[in-house]
Amino acid sequence: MTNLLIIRDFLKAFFQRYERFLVPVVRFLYAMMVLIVFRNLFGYSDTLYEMPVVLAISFVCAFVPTGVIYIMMAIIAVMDVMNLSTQVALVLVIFFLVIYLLYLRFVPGKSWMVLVSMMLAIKLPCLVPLLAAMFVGPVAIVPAISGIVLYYFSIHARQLEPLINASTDDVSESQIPYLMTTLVGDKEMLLFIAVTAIIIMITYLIYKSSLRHAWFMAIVIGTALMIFMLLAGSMMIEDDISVFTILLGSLLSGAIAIVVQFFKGVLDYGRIEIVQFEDDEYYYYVKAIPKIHIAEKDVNVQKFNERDANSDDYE
Amino acid sequence: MINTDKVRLMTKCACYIKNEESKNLSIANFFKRDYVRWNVLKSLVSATLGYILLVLLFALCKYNEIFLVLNQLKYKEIVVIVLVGWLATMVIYFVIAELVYRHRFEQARPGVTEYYKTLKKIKRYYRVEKDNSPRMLDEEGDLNNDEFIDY
Repeated sequence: MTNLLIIRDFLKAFFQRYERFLVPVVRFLYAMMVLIVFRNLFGYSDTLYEMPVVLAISFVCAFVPTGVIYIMMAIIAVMDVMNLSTQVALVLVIFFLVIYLLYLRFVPGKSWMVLVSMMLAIKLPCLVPLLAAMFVGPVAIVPAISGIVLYYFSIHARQLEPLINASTDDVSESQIPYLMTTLVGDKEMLLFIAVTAIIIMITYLIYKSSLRHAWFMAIVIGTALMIFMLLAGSMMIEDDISVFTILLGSLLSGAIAIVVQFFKGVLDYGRIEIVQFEDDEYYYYVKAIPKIHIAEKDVNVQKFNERDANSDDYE
Repeated sequence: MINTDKVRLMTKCACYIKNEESKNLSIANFFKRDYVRWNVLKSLVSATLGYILLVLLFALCKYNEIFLVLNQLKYKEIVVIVLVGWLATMVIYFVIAELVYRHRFEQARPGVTEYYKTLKKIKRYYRVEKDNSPRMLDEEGDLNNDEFIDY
């Protein structure tokens, strides 16, 4: 445990010292991951996802705020889906705009949550509500649900591809009604939306309570409830989500949430500030460094009997 | 000589401006009621746009059916339903926006107050420095006209 605490303190000091360089690197990696996920979910355009293009877009994203990254990614997704169908792209534009107008205007700093929720929906949908409750709170319900909807939108848009390629007049007229009917009628999506909203609320309430080890209880209860609700829900809607996937996904999500909780404090550091100002006499270039205390290994092992008890001296 | 206490205060202010300027310092230009009203109005406009987009999406989903029964549509009923939906959206967004921006103003106020207090302290340092500084002399060593004191 002491070693883990030392590692955590080391990471905290490391982040504090190199924040200026790490933030762009993290944004670069985040943008790159989103683009890779887009290629898997949409991927109707080859040129958009060529490595130099991906690297160039990620490089630009490294130096802009997360809100701008959201807008850039929305534009890229729409441009990509335009290759499939203009009508489907129009629906995607409306989705992104509605999310922005009805939610992100109030909480502009949470735009990353939409894209993260969308990325996690592929492999670890159960991790979304746990992390959302721990890091953001009930406010995260809307972006988490938006991410899930966007993920299922991409799946149904892909199912539309062979019909569009058949290019009959009936299909070209009814792309949007077909897409929306299948999307709204997707019971699996509705199940995940309901479970996500409920788990975020319950986990958040326990997490913020004054109980002893509240964070641990919140994760365990959240994970257990999620398994129960997903199993019961999938039986009710007669969906083919396998029990093994639900169990493994939920337990893995719980384990990741515990690890994330342990290292959560790493990001809670005082920042090094570099500021410039002037008065009548001087120009000032000030670097303000917060005082930090790194826990050191405080283990003092005192050996009372260094000789081996089984050695020949005792015989 | 550099006054370290003054530099400390100036650094504090500079850090605050750097981190909070866009969010909080603009709040200082408003009274609470004006700030809340202005932002609620902006929220209602964006909620209206969002609502229009959702209605448009619904119309796009149903446009085949709508096209078939275009002559038999009860336009009055449709307009009433759309307006009632819009009013409901406005009421919900009004309540949410009012609560959010009131809370945001209350949260930002202590930081802004502290910032202005620090500015006042810096001003005081300037005044003391000015009072203690030697009088401005011109090239011949005489007092400048504006600094002349008639005893």
